[in-house]
Amino acid sequence: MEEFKLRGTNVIGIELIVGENFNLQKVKSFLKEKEQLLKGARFIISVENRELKEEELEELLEFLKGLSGITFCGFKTNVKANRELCIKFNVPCDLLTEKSEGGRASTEEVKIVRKTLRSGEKVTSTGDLIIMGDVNPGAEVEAGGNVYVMGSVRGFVRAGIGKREGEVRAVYFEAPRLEICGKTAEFERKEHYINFRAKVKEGKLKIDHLKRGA
Amino acid sequence: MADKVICVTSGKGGVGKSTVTANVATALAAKGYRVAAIDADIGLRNLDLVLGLENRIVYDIVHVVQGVIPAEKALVKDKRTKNLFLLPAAQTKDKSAVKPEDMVKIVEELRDKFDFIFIDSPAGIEEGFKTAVTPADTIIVVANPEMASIRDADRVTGICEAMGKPEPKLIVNRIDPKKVARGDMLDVNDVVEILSLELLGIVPEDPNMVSYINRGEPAVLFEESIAGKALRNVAERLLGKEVPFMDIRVEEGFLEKIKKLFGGS
Repeated sequence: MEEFKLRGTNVIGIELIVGENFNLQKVKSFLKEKEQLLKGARFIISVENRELKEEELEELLEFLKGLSGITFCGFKTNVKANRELCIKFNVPCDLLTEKSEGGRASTEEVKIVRKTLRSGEKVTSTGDLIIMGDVNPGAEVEAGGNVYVMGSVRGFVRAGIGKREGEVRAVYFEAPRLEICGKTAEFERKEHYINFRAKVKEGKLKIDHLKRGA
Repeated sequence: MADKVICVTSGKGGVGKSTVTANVATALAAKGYRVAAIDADIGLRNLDLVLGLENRIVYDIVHVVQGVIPAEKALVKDKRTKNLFLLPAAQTKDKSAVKPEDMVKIVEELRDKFDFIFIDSPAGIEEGFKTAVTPADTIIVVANPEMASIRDADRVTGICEAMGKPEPKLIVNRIDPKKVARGDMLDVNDVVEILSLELLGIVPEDPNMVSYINRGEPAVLFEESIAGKALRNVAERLLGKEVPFMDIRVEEGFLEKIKKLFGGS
């Protein structure tokens, strides 16, 4: 097996997969070499079957900070100790568990935002996202998992990034566009929903609501 | 007084920042308070025109920053309203001529000598906007009832929040009750719902506003102006008084009533 490889994930961006024979210096020089390629992309590192040392993670994070054009979004790993280390360093990290059908891995990040997102603000989460406020026009929300908004959605919500199933719920919905698991729904102006729920299941986007206005 | 240094901003241009600044400042000065209005829109100076003081400008804010003259000496005294003073913007320079720290210094120089200091912010969210907002302890966001203006006002609010400023207060400007009744314009409630800010005033569209501005006479000085009345109310609210909002709804016409009766909307 190669030491590491790059692959594009369908939505998140570019993923670097490193395996058992992880070598920090090689990863660094590899990334330096590919910096141009990675420019502007969102980037995650997937560490498989290898436990990271604390000083390795520290050095890697320091190095990633120095790559200005790259948006580093966090780690993915199948080793529990790595996730614990990441939490210590306050870096997002998804733990991949054995393939469990349906439901999400319980170890995924759940982020709670206790404010209204105003125009120009953006919140992301590798897992689920709960917003205790509104998502105003011009604000953006991106989550690897589901998005729950305890308020009105008038901005752009992207949920279930890189997943097959996901849902978005909102008390009130009046946004021009919505994306779940790569599937997009567009809405007419003034089209609005109360008790809105949109979900993707078996590749189809379905919308439920209590009341619809136009 | 907590609301001493007030910055009027909006994000979007042309929503009535300068008009609101000039009128509210005039209204407060007319009540006997000492008021200074600073035009922070360097390079695109306008506030002097709204106040009708364009022919009296000798020094401007850039002269003050350069140390040519102290801030107090550069102030232009209003010709109608005593107690009102204007620190004009420079027309020949640009936004980079005044830095946030310069503005803070100017405001500090004037703080003890005035009851209110208004800063008329430029449009946009760049340097000039930050210069105008930095010294303020109260921020007024002016929005028109249209989506572009609301989105920009929302953005500005977010930036003010990030700068650690108190939550801005909102003035909904140029609302046309006739258009609202016909469903052609957003309602005040729609604007407030999205921005969720404390409402400081609702200013109706006033067909005479253009002529007040062209004559350089603030509308608040005229009893007959409805926008003037709304802006006088804003001044009262800044003084901490509870003033009910004007009822600006239009009576439904006879035809509309008939239409409604027969199920039309």
